[in-house]
Amino acid sequence: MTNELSTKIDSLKFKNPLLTASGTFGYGLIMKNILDISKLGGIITKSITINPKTGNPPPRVVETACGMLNSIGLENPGIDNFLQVILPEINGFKTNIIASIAGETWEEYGMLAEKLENSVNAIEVNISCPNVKKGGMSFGQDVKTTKKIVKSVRKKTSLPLIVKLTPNVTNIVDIAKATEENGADAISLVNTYMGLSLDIELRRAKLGGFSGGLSGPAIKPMALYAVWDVARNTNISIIGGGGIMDSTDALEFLMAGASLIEIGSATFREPHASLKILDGIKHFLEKKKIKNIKEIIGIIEK
Amino acid sequence: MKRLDDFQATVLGNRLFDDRISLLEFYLPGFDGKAEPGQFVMIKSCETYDPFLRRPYSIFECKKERIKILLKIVGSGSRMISEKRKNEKISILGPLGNGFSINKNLYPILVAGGIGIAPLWFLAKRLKSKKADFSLIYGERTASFLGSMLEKDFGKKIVFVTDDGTRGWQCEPQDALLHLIKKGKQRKCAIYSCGPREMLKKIIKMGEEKRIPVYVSLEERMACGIGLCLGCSVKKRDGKSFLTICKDGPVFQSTEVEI
Repeated sequence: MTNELSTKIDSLKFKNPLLTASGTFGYGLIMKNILDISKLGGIITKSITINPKTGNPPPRVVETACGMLNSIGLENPGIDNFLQVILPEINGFKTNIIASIAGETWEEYGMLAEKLENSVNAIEVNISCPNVKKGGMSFGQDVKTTKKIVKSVRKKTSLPLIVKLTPNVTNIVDIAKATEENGADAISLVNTYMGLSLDIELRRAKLGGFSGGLSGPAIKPMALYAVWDVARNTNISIIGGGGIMDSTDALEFLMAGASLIEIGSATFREPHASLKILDGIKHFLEKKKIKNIKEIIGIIEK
Repeated sequence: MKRLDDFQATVLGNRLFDDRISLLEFYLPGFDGKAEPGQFVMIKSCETYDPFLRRPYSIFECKKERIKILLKIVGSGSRMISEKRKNEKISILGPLGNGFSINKNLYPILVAGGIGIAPLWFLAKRLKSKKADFSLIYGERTASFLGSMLEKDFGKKIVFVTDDGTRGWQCEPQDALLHLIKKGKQRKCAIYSCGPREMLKKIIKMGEEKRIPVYVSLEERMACGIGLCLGCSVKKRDGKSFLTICKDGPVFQSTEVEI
């Protein structure tokens, strides 16, 4: 029996629901030596900014119980380098390329989207990075700013538009609705949770950027809750993720209401994680005689 | 770029000495045995998620289907790996990063501090097998069994320095380095070093002042070890941007980086 794994965001077809989370897969250029990228539903690139960014001072990662804090600070070579140097190399990947974009002002998001119009398969708007001084998470914590950014990007692009949200808010459903009502096609849930780790000997933060974003299995129950909460209160497509380590985790997100999932920090620990998880999902569907993956999406009711 | 493998390895041997140093040997099915001194592997300490990340270790020795690492127990991850017994399974990703490149026209002086000896031991063995002459300065707090093992392998090529004078000279590695450079002043040399950052800083300063090329292997906490996370950064010498230690290094010429 072959299972139907394909899914859609707007008009964009994904061969399966497996995506790799922004910032955990580079642009695919390293990973192409490790696994067959064409087997993935898509890759979401490291966030791209207008100007190159050097990122935050080290140390940039610190391990915590069942997870890690990062404060990378959106290090990337900038949009022009992405278009001229990186894109030609990844165009042949035979999977969907989703460009993650991050602006320092709301206008920059529109500018980035415009430049990417004919170059990638979809755009993910990153309004949830906890490690930058300008923009980032502060945008995604505010309903008005979220609306403004989504609206402006929507005007500049006909590509499927995904918005990645921060869970560091009072009510994530409010933010999700703001994206839905202003033309987003999907949301990514969740970016990292704000966290802190201290060195008691040196009496300072372990991260060079002071605080950081927590990811890994430690955040999975919280991320899963956010996905479930948004799924039952909105109609927007959800790309769910946050600490997915294996196919059981992935299936939980699908059943909670995500139509696609993203693998993040798991790739750091296990470079082949994404494809192993895909195999696990296929195995589960076969075992349970589920013909189409859509049958289980959002199946959990309270 | 060469294809990367995640080996499902088996522990062949594990010897603990000096309280917190482990010399581990692994069987890696299908490993071609090719690695350069200075390259490293990422080892998974457990199959549960705490610790979450793999640990990077310099390759200490390798041949077809075999890799040895020298590990110092510093936290829970290294402790778990050090407690692996013969026949236990373990995931090893690698070899990773760029190793030392040897300039044949320059006399190699290797300077190691503490556990920083691991990649330089490999380098020294490589030089020895090529019958190339070299000197090795090894600094440690106090005379250890590790030092005795090193002496067995390389005998008179080593200059020992200890903080407490229990073996060799009672000084810092860079003092011994200065002495060697002065002694062999007609010879053009290159320095290869690994150890604590403070030691590396002093060695780089000395080498650059004397216009001697210095190559350093840098240690840093890493999440992925393959250049994805951009976590293990070191400032470029121009001070404006960063290099990624796992992918651009871990071996750098001193003039590339600001440590």
